[in-house]
Amino acid sequence: MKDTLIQRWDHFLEKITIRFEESLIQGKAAVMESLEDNDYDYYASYRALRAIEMQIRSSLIEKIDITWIEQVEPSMRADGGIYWADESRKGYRLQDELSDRLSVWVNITEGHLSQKYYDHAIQLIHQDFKCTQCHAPLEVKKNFFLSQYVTCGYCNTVNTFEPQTKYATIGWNIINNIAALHSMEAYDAVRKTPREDRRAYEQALRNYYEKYFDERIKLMPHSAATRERDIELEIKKMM
Amino acid sequence: MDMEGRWQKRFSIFRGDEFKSEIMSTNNPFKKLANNSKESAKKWDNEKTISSIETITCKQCGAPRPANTLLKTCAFCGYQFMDASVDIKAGHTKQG
Repeated sequence: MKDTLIQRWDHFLEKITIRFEESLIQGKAAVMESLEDNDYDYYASYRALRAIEMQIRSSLIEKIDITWIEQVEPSMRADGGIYWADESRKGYRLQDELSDRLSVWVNITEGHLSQKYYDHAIQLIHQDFKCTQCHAPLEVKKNFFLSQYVTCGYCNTVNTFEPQTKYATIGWNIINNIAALHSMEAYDAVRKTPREDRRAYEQALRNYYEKYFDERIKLMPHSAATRERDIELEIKKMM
Repeated sequence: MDMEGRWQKRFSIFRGDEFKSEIMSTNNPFKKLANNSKESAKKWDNEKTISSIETITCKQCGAPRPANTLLKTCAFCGYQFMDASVDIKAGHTKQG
Protein backbone atom coordinates (compact mmCIF):
# COMPACT_ATOMS: atom_id res chain seq x y z
CA MET A 1 0.00 0.00 0.00
CA LYS A 2 2.85 2.39 0.92
CA ASP A 3 4.44 2.16 -2.54
CA THR A 4 1.12 2.67 -4.29
CA LEU A 5 0.30 5.74 -2.22
CA ILE A 6 3.76 7.26 -2.78
CA GLN A 7 3.51 6.51 -6.49
CA ARG A 8 0.11 8.18 -6.73
CA TRP A 9 1.38 11.21 -4.80
CA ASP A 10 4.46 11.46 -7.06
CA HIS A 11 2.26 11.19 -10.11
CA PHE A 12 0.01 13.96 -8.82
CA LEU A 13 3.01 16.27 -8.15
CA GLU A 14 4.39 15.49 -11.59
CA LYS A 15 1.08 16.38 -13.22
CA ILE A 16 0.95 19.65 -11.29
CA THR A 17 4.47 20.49 -12.48
CA ILE A 18 3.62 19.76 -16.12
CA ARG A 19 0.42 21.79 -15.92
CA PHE A 20 2.36 24.60 -14.26
CA GLU A 21 4.91 24.70 -17.11
CA GLU A 22 2.09 24.77 -19.69
CA SER A 23 0.29 27.50 -17.77
CA LEU A 24 3.34 29.75 -17.78
CA ILE A 25 3.58 29.45 -21.57
CA GLN A 26 -0.14 29.95 -22.12
CA GLY A 27 -0.35 32.72 -19.55
CA LYS A 28 2.45 34.68 -21.15
CA ALA A 29 0.96 34.22 -24.62
CA ALA A 30 -2.45 35.48 -23.40
CA VAL A 31 -0.91 38.54 -21.71
CA MET A 32 1.24 39.49 -24.70
CA GLU A 33 -1.61 39.02 -27.19
CA SER A 34 -3.98 41.01 -25.02
CA LEU A 35 -1.96 44.17 -25.61
CA GLU A 36 -2.92 44.21 -29.29
CA ASP A 37 -6.47 43.09 -28.57
CA ASN A 38 -7.10 45.98 -26.20
CA ASP A 39 -5.45 48.60 -28.41
CA TYR A 40 -2.37 48.92 -26.21
CA ASP A 41 -4.17 49.54 -22.94
CA TYR A 42 -1.20 48.61 -20.74
CA TYR A 43 -3.15 48.55 -17.50
CA ALA A 44 -5.79 46.17 -18.87
CA SER A 45 -3.01 43.76 -19.88
CA TYR A 46 -1.32 44.20 -16.51
CA ARG A 47 -4.57 43.31 -14.74
CA ALA A 48 -4.82 40.22 -16.96
CA LEU A 49 -1.29 39.25 -15.88
CA ARG A 50 -2.21 39.56 -12.21
CA ALA A 51 -5.44 37.61 -12.71
CA ILE A 52 -3.53 34.82 -14.46
CA GLU A 53 -0.97 34.76 -11.65
CA MET A 54 -3.77 34.39 -9.09
CA GLN A 55 -5.40 31.61 -11.07
CA ILE A 56 -2.15 29.65 -11.40
CA ARG A 57 -1.52 30.10 -7.68
CA SER A 58 -4.97 29.00 -6.58
CA SER A 59 -5.61 26.23 -9.11
CA LEU A 60 -2.16 24.62 -9.07
CA ILE A 61 0.17 25.72 -6.27
CA GLU A 62 -2.42 25.79 -3.49
CA LYS A 63 -3.91 22.58 -4.81
CA ILE A 64 -0.82 20.72 -3.57
CA ASP A 65 -1.56 21.72 0.01
CA ILE A 66 -5.28 21.07 -0.25
CA THR A 67 -4.82 17.64 -1.83
CA TRP A 68 -2.23 16.71 0.77
CA ILE A 69 -4.40 17.72 3.73
CA GLU A 70 -7.70 16.37 2.42
CA GLN A 71 -6.67 13.17 0.68
CA VAL A 72 -3.04 12.08 0.80
CA GLU A 73 -2.11 12.64 4.44
CA PRO A 74 -5.18 10.84 5.87
CA SER A 75 -4.55 7.84 3.57
CA MET A 76 -0.85 7.63 4.46
CA ARG A 77 -1.50 8.02 8.18
CA ALA A 78 -4.14 5.32 8.03
CA ASP A 79 -1.60 3.10 6.29
CA GLY A 80 0.71 3.34 9.33
CA GLY A 81 4.39 4.23 9.71
CA ILE A 82 5.90 7.70 9.53
CA TYR A 83 6.87 7.85 5.87
CA TRP A 84 4.12 10.47 5.41
CA ALA A 85 6.46 13.10 6.97
CA ASP A 86 8.97 12.80 4.08
CA GLU A 87 6.13 12.85 1.57
CA SER A 88 4.74 15.98 3.19
CA ARG A 89 8.09 17.76 2.79
CA LYS A 90 8.16 16.73 -0.87
CA GLY A 91 4.87 18.54 -1.46
CA TYR A 92 5.80 21.69 0.44
CA ARG A 93 9.19 21.84 -1.29
CA LEU A 94 7.48 21.77 -4.69
CA GLN A 95 4.95 24.36 -3.52
CA ASP A 96 7.76 26.76 -2.49
CA GLU A 97 9.66 26.15 -5.70
CA LEU A 98 6.63 26.81 -7.93
CA SER A 99 5.67 29.87 -5.91
CA ASP A 100 9.15 31.29 -6.33
CA ARG A 101 9.16 30.56 -10.06
CA LEU A 102 5.76 32.16 -10.45
CA SER A 103 7.00 35.40 -8.87
CA VAL A 104 9.98 35.46 -11.24
CA TRP A 105 7.64 34.71 -14.16
CA VAL A 106 5.45 37.69 -13.23
CA ASN A 107 8.46 40.01 -13.17
CA ILE A 108 9.79 38.75 -16.50
CA THR A 109 6.39 38.83 -18.20
CA GLU A 110 5.76 42.33 -16.87
CA GLY A 111 9.12 43.35 -18.35
CA HIS A 112 8.35 41.81 -21.75
CA LEU A 113 4.87 43.34 -21.74
CA SER A 114 6.39 46.74 -20.98
CA GLN A 115 8.95 46.31 -23.76
CA LYS A 116 6.20 45.52 -26.26
CA TYR A 117 4.21 48.53 -25.09
CA TYR A 118 7.31 50.74 -25.29
CA ASP A 119 8.11 49.64 -28.87
CA HIS A 120 4.61 50.68 -29.91
CA ALA A 121 4.12 53.87 -27.87
CA ILE A 122 7.57 55.37 -28.46
CA GLN A 123 6.63 55.91 -32.10
CA LEU A 124 3.52 57.91 -31.30
CA ILE A 125 5.29 61.27 -31.36
CA HIS A 126 7.28 60.55 -34.51
CA GLN A 127 5.41 63.26 -36.38
CA ASP A 128 5.91 66.92 -37.22
CA PHE A 129 4.83 69.45 -34.63
CA LYS A 130 4.56 73.07 -35.68
CA CYS A 131 4.61 76.40 -33.87
CA THR A 132 1.09 77.65 -33.20
CA GLN A 133 2.08 81.16 -34.29
CA CYS A 134 4.34 80.88 -37.37
CA HIS A 135 3.95 77.15 -38.23
CA ALA A 136 7.68 76.59 -38.28
CA PRO A 137 8.68 73.04 -37.30
CA LEU A 138 9.35 72.56 -33.58
CA GLU A 139 11.96 70.34 -32.00
CA VAL A 140 10.11 68.35 -29.37
CA LYS A 141 12.47 66.69 -26.92
CA LYS A 142 12.26 62.89 -27.35
CA ASN A 143 12.35 60.40 -24.48
CA PHE A 144 10.81 62.97 -22.18
CA PHE A 145 7.38 61.74 -21.26
CA LEU A 146 5.92 64.83 -19.68
CA SER A 147 4.57 68.12 -20.97
CA GLN A 148 7.34 70.46 -22.05
CA TYR A 149 7.91 74.02 -23.19
CA VAL A 150 9.24 74.24 -26.73
CA THR A 151 10.50 77.59 -27.95
CA CYS A 152 10.10 78.26 -31.65
CA GLY A 153 13.50 78.86 -33.22
CA TYR A 154 11.98 81.30 -35.71
CA CYS A 155 9.51 83.52 -33.83
CA ASN A 156 10.67 82.86 -30.23
CA THR A 157 7.16 81.92 -29.06
CA VAL A 158 6.90 79.51 -26.16
CA ASN A 159 4.74 76.54 -27.16
CA THR A 160 3.51 73.92 -24.72
CA PHE A 161 3.76 70.37 -25.94
CA GLU A 162 1.44 67.94 -24.19
CA PRO A 163 1.97 64.27 -25.10
CA GLN A 164 -0.94 61.89 -25.57
CA THR A 165 -1.66 59.61 -22.62
CA LYS A 166 -0.27 56.46 -24.26
CA TYR A 167 3.08 58.16 -24.79
CA ALA A 168 3.14 59.72 -21.31
CA THR A 169 2.42 56.26 -19.82
CA ILE A 170 5.92 55.18 -20.86
CA GLY A 171 7.37 57.51 -18.25
CA TRP A 172 5.12 56.24 -15.45
CA ASN A 173 6.29 52.69 -14.96
CA ILE A 174 6.99 51.13 -18.35
CA ILE A 175 10.61 52.26 -18.24
CA ASN A 176 11.03 51.03 -14.66
CA ASN A 177 9.78 47.57 -15.67
CA ILE A 178 12.13 47.39 -18.66
CA ALA A 179 15.07 48.51 -16.51
CA ALA A 180 14.14 45.85 -13.93
CA LEU A 181 13.96 43.21 -16.67
CA HIS A 182 17.48 44.03 -17.83
CA SER A 183 18.76 43.94 -14.25
CA MET A 184 17.31 40.53 -13.34
CA GLU A 185 20.72 38.93 -12.86
CA ALA A 186 21.81 41.56 -10.35
CA TYR A 187 18.41 41.29 -8.62
CA ASP A 188 18.82 37.56 -8.34
CA ALA A 189 22.19 38.12 -6.64
CA VAL A 190 20.43 40.37 -4.08
CA ARG A 191 17.88 37.63 -3.39
CA LYS A 192 20.65 35.11 -2.81
CA THR A 193 22.63 37.32 -0.42
CA PRO A 194 21.64 36.92 3.25
CA ARG A 195 20.49 40.17 4.84
CA GLU A 196 22.45 39.33 7.99
CA ASP A 197 25.70 39.84 6.08
CA ARG A 198 25.13 43.59 5.91
CA ARG A 199 28.22 44.51 3.91
CA ALA A 200 27.66 41.85 1.26
CA TYR A 201 23.95 42.68 1.13
CA GLU A 202 24.60 46.38 0.69
CA GLN A 203 27.13 45.66 -2.05
CA ALA A 204 24.64 43.40 -3.86
CA LEU A 205 22.01 46.11 -3.59
CA ARG A 206 24.44 48.70 -4.90
CA ASN A 207 25.31 46.51 -7.90
CA TYR A 208 21.62 46.02 -8.63
CA TYR A 209 20.60 49.67 -8.34
CA GLU A 210 23.59 50.85 -10.40
CA LYS A 211 22.57 48.48 -13.17
CA TYR A 212 18.89 49.36 -12.80
CA PHE A 213 19.38 53.14 -12.97
CA ASP A 214 21.89 52.83 -15.83
CA GLU A 215 19.30 50.86 -17.82
CA ARG A 216 16.73 53.52 -16.96
CA ILE A 217 19.04 56.30 -18.15
CA LYS A 218 19.39 54.58 -21.54
CA LEU A 219 15.66 55.07 -22.08
CA MET A 220 15.20 58.33 -20.19
CA PRO A 221 18.48 60.27 -20.48
CA HIS A 222 17.36 63.23 -18.35
CA SER A 223 17.16 60.91 -15.31
CA ALA A 224 21.00 60.79 -15.34
CA ALA A 225 21.01 64.05 -13.38
CA THR A 226 19.73 62.31 -10.26
CA ARG A 227 21.48 58.92 -10.69
CA GLU A 228 23.69 59.02 -7.56
CA ARG A 229 20.94 60.39 -5.35
CA ASP A 230 18.44 57.80 -6.63
CA ILE A 231 20.83 54.91 -5.96
CA GLU A 232 21.61 56.06 -2.40
CA LEU A 233 17.92 56.59 -1.63
CA GLU A 234 16.93 53.11 -2.77
CA ILE A 235 19.76 51.47 -0.82
CA LYS A 236 18.81 53.40 2.31
CA LYS A 237 15.21 52.25 1.95
CA MET A 238 16.26 48.60 1.74
CA MET A 239 18.84 48.56 4.55
CA MET B 1 6.08 20.70 -48.08
CA ASP B 2 9.52 21.24 -49.63
CA MET B 3 12.77 19.77 -48.29
CA GLU B 4 13.63 22.85 -46.23
CA GLY B 5 10.16 22.91 -44.69
CA ARG B 6 10.46 19.27 -43.67
CA TRP B 7 13.85 19.90 -42.04
CA GLN B 8 12.49 22.94 -40.22
CA LYS B 9 9.65 20.82 -38.87
CA ARG B 10 12.01 18.06 -37.70
CA PHE B 11 14.31 20.50 -35.93
CA SER B 12 11.40 22.31 -34.32
CA ILE B 13 10.50 19.06 -32.56
CA PHE B 14 13.94 18.95 -30.95
CA ARG B 15 13.68 22.60 -29.95
CA GLY B 16 10.28 21.99 -28.39
CA ASP B 17 8.65 24.53 -30.74
CA GLU B 18 5.97 22.08 -31.76
CA PHE B 19 5.03 21.41 -28.17
CA LYS B 20 4.95 25.15 -27.50
CA SER B 21 2.85 25.99 -30.53
CA GLU B 22 0.50 23.10 -29.77
CA ILE B 23 -0.14 24.53 -26.31
CA MET B 24 -0.74 27.99 -27.71
CA SER B 25 -2.90 26.97 -30.62
CA THR B 26 -5.32 24.96 -28.49
CA ASN B 27 -7.87 27.04 -26.64
CA ASN B 28 -5.84 29.16 -24.29
CA PRO B 29 -7.75 29.05 -20.98
CA PHE B 30 -6.28 32.39 -19.93
CA LYS B 31 -7.69 34.20 -22.94
CA LYS B 32 -10.97 34.58 -21.07
CA LEU B 33 -9.24 36.36 -18.19
CA ALA B 34 -7.56 38.72 -20.64
CA ASN B 35 -10.91 39.45 -22.30
CA ASN B 36 -12.56 40.11 -18.94
CA SER B 37 -9.82 42.53 -18.12
CA LYS B 38 -10.35 44.31 -21.43
CA GLU B 39 -14.11 44.51 -21.01
CA SER B 40 -13.95 45.78 -17.44
CA ALA B 41 -11.33 48.44 -18.24
CA LYS B 42 -12.35 51.86 -17.02
CA LYS B 43 -12.64 54.54 -19.67
CA TRP B 44 -11.01 57.70 -18.36
CA ASP B 45 -12.59 61.00 -19.38
CA ASN B 46 -9.29 62.85 -19.31
CA GLU B 47 -7.41 60.42 -21.56
CA LYS B 48 -5.60 62.39 -24.23
CA THR B 49 -5.71 60.54 -27.54
CA ILE B 50 -3.51 62.90 -29.53
CA SER B 51 -0.45 64.92 -28.61
CA SER B 52 -0.97 68.66 -28.85
CA ILE B 53 0.88 71.94 -29.17
CA GLU B 54 -0.65 74.96 -27.55
CA THR B 55 0.36 78.50 -26.77
CA ILE B 56 -1.09 80.60 -24.03
CA THR B 57 -1.96 84.03 -25.35
CA CYS B 58 -2.61 87.33 -23.62
CA LYS B 59 -6.28 87.93 -22.93
CA GLN B 60 -5.86 91.63 -23.68
CA CYS B 61 -3.72 91.82 -26.83
CA GLY B 62 -3.66 88.19 -27.97
CA ALA B 63 0.14 87.99 -28.07
CA PRO B 64 1.84 84.69 -27.28
CA ARG B 65 4.54 84.56 -24.60
CA PRO B 66 8.09 84.92 -25.97
CA ALA B 67 10.94 82.95 -24.39
CA ASN B 68 12.73 84.33 -21.32
CA THR B 69 9.95 86.66 -20.28
CA LEU B 70 8.09 86.95 -17.00
CA LEU B 71 5.07 84.77 -16.46
CA LYS B 72 2.97 87.28 -14.54
CA THR B 73 2.75 90.05 -17.13
CA CYS B 74 2.39 90.21 -20.90
CA ALA B 75 5.71 91.15 -22.54
CA PHE B 76 3.88 93.10 -25.25
CA CYS B 77 1.16 95.13 -23.54
CA GLY B 78 2.02 94.76 -19.84
CA TYR B 79 -1.33 93.15 -18.97
CA GLN B 80 -1.12 91.53 -15.56
CA PHE B 81 -1.91 87.81 -15.75
CA MET B 82 -1.76 87.24 -12.01
CA ASP B 83 -1.50 89.10 -8.76
CA ALA B 84 1.86 88.06 -7.36
CA SER B 85 4.33 89.99 -5.25
CA VAL B 86 7.35 88.18 -6.73
CA ASP B 87 8.50 88.02 -10.34
CA ILE B 88 7.94 84.54 -11.80
CA LYS B 89 10.01 83.44 -14.73
CA ALA B 90 9.90 80.11 -16.51
CA GLY B 91 12.72 77.85 -15.32
CA HIS B 92 13.38 76.15 -18.63
CA THR B 93 15.37 79.03 -20.12
CA LYS B 94 16.91 76.92 -22.89
CA GLN B 95 13.53 75.62 -24.01
CA GLY B 96 11.63 78.73 -23.12
